[in-house]
Amino acid sequence: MYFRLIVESIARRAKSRAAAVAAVALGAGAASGLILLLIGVGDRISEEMRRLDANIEILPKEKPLLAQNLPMLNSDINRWGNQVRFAIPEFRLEKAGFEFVGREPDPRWRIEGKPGVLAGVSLGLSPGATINAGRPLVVTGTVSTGGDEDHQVLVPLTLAQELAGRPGELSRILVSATVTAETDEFGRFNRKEKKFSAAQIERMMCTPFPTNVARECGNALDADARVLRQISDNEGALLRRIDGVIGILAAAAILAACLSVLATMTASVVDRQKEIGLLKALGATNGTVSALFIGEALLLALPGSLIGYVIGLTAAKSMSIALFGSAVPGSAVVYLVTLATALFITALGVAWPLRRAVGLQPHRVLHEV
Amino acid sequence: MRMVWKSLFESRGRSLLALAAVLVPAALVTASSNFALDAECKMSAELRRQGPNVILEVKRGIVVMDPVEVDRALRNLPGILSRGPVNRADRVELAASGSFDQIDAAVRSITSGSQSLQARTVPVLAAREGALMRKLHGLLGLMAVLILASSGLAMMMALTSSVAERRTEIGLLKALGSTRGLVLRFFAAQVGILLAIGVGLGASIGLILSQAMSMGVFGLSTEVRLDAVAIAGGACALMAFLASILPARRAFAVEPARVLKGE
Repeated sequence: MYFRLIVESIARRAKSRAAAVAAVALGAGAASGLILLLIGVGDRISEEMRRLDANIEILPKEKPLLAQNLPMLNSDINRWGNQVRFAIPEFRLEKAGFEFVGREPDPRWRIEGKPGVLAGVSLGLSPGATINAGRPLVVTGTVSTGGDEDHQVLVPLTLAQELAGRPGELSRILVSATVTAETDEFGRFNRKEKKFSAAQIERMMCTPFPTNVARECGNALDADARVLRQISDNEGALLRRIDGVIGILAAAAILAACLSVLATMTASVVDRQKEIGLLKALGATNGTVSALFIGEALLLALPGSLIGYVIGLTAAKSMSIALFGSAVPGSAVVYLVTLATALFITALGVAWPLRRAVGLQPHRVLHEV
Repeated sequence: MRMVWKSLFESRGRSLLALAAVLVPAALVTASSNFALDAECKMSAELRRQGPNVILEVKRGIVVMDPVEVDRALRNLPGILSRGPVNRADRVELAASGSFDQIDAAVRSITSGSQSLQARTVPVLAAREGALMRKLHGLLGLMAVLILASSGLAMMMALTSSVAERRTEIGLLKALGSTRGLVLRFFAAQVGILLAIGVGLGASIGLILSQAMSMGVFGLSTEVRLDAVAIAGGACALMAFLASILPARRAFAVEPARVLKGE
């Protein structure tokens, strides 16, 4: 009887019930999509900021570093080969009072003139000037970075090797790898400050912390490798701020989504005072009426939140691809949280106006019919 | 007009409810827009403190910087957050605030306006900040759209139910010979009062809220960004206006005979 009443009530007012489902779906979609998109967003933003920065440098150990071995960084020999985004081979030499660096220029550097022999802006050489380094080199442009490069001469790698008479040799390889920020626990593990269990050691070694990736990169080339830049305290603070800003705004957005569901559900009960009056006149207790209305609302919220989660997941995936170039995985926990919240908000939105409606005397409400 | 106030006052309960329905979304929208705009500025300042973005140095052939010239050059920049760690006579590293276009213009005018000094920006930092700000912009914009849309929906639903409750009142007005225009004015005045109070109060509460948010994340008090408040207020008013169209149309469709039959 109970279920028949509910099902018939839904079927009878199909249009406005569909609106309620849509409201729940939109609210749940917005909330779950945001949560999915924003899990770990601080790390992803900082990753994006640092994508062009090298974070590991490889230096020769006993044997010279050879350019032909470079592909080994991405091969199976390097356990963290998949983490390597790019590697820039470099050869430096000093000659005729100039410091020559043979490498590809960074796309973010400001280069004026044609590529080729680029003089750092602080050297004061303009294009067309000649540098005598064993053989005459004509400056084709200038480079400005705000770093050491401002005092150096940037040349193609092979030219630098020729100038030194050591073809195929490298003095350094800059590697940009995807890494995870090192934890305090990993710091203690690295300094061997306390005993760790086998499982913990396994976990420490299998996380792409910069130190781990650098070590394996060095081993792959039989060279020394060190981490260039740890995430500094300053940067950690910035990351926390990003998380904070986005978290607070996401909370506001989710709150707004809850409000809209609440308002829709409230509006759906206000219209139905007569129905409540009739039910009561026919002998239904306040409890029965409440159970009927809340049950009906929950029955609507269930498909609503499921549709909402699917919408949210799809939206989060496409947003994530547009913003960061990679999709986000779905999460059962987020779905359960969405479902529970949707049910709670729906029940709240119905129970609140119901309290007033069931308090009314049936004859007063029915008088108007 | 007296009728409007009386009607609002007599049904205090539902007027307050409708007021809350306008006020809460308005507060949310104002708080989040003020906070988001302010946060973007603060983030960018924070990022700039991590490293210099402008280098001021001597022109070729000059050995030591002239302090008077340096002071004059620094006045060109929109704002200076910190001076860099390098303490050399021929070079100063600075973290300057302002947009990159402003800084670029300032740097150019320093180089062309000074006899002994030249300035340049650090391109890597600009690229890094650009990447961060693009992502933040995208995310904050997405959330702004979500907040506005949900708030609009909430307002619409609340106004709809408040009109549904007022059906007999409107029916009575019509039965007593009010013209369409009179009912419209009556309705518009009621909604207008609710909106004005709701948006006004909501915006003030929103500013307090954004202050709390800013203290929580940055530990700094927020600046009231008038542009943000104006945009949020305008958006809320527009949204509320749009949200009241549907309920208003329903109110005009009321047939006095049907509504009043029972009375």
